[in-house]
Amino acid sequence: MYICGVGRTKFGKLELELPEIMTEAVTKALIDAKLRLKDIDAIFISNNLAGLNQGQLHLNSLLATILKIDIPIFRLESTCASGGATFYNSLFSLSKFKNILVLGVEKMTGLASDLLSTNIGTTSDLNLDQEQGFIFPVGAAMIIERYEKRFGNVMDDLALISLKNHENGNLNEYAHFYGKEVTLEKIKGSRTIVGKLRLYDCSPVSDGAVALVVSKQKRDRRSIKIQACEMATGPISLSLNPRTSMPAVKTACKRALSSAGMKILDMDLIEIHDGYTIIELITMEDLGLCKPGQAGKLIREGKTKLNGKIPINTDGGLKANGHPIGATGLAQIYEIVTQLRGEAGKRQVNAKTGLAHNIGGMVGSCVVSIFKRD
Amino acid sequence: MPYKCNKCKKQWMHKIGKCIFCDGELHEIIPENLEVMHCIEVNIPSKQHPEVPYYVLQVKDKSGNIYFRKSKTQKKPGEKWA
Repeated sequence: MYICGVGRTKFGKLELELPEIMTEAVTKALIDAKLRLKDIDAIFISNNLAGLNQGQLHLNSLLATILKIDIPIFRLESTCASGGATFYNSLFSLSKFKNILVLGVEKMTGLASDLLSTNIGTTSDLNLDQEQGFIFPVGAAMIIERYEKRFGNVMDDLALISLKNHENGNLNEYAHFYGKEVTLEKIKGSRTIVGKLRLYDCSPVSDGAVALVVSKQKRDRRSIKIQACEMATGPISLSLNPRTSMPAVKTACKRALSSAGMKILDMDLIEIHDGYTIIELITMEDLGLCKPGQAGKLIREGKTKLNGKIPINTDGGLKANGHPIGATGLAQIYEIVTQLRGEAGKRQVNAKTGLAHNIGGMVGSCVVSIFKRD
Repeated sequence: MPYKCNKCKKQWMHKIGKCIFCDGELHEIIPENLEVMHCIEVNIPSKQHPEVPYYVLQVKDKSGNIYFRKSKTQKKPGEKWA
């Protein structure tokens, strides 16, 4: 199975509605794959909040209407892991179909912030979390407290993660924060919003879409092999996991590496789901890049920078690239494909393999995908 | 919550009727002697929680079960929560 075409919109506050955002990504992916719409046998749509944010469900039919097609189209949701989960599901269909399109889309701007906060919060547990005032930044702040209780001060390391991702984002013209200078002083001086969590520890609210063309066979030398894609689920509430380690991440990673017949240090670049900087840090440990409590050392030594031993989030991650929820998991794959094709321009790293880590909740779902240049 | 099976002792935080493993009856445990582990100040309002700041506590009971609880006032780790 191969990724044969990719397309995306800029992420950020877009003056576009869902139909335009979806169409732009789909069109670009088809052009990139050198395919026409009639070559596509099925479409899988990843979206989290269109029902609540825009009052629009039945996105599969909406897309069929826009594209004037009648092929099977499905919409899947797994909160922030919607992209990865949709991609994972789509691969099973290649036993029946030759070419499929996987589209991730989200529009999150234009809503009152308290309404958006509430809508995003519906993906946590109703009784255990929502009724207790738990919103996702609280979860990140709680993990920081737990981590610091065990391993000591972590805020300086988190600032370095944010800085790295903003530096990378400024090399990615599609990134939400592209063209915006963000210094270490700005990060450390940004206001705290929840607990110790600063504004610049959090990914932004973004609109955007990404589309991938996935084919059973390799189409040309730019086709990138899907080496493995595995998923694991976990508890819906952070209250059901007292640690700073996420079992669903460890399980999905173990399954993916086993399927691929590879080790974590075989990866030349990794896209980590950094909804919050603390998530990038603990995920480095959960993926096995280092022992618990040691991620800060790798960060301070620059090992995860573009020119480091294990580049992480070369596109800026969720922090700087942006986080339109339904599109995020596919944006990670977009970046890995771009890197493996050697088409990443100023942020190009030397890579033959890449791993994408996409999570939902903390952590209720996790998809780990591995890609390889043939 | 929590709900514990009388027969096999498995536990759930959601009301599910009967034990899905052994079909045993479940009894509800009322959390007692809760102790504050962490206290997070929240400055982001939402429709359900419009007044800020408020605080989300991570508390635990004597069995080690962890819960989140909303508080209007700040609490210190080690304090008791009724």
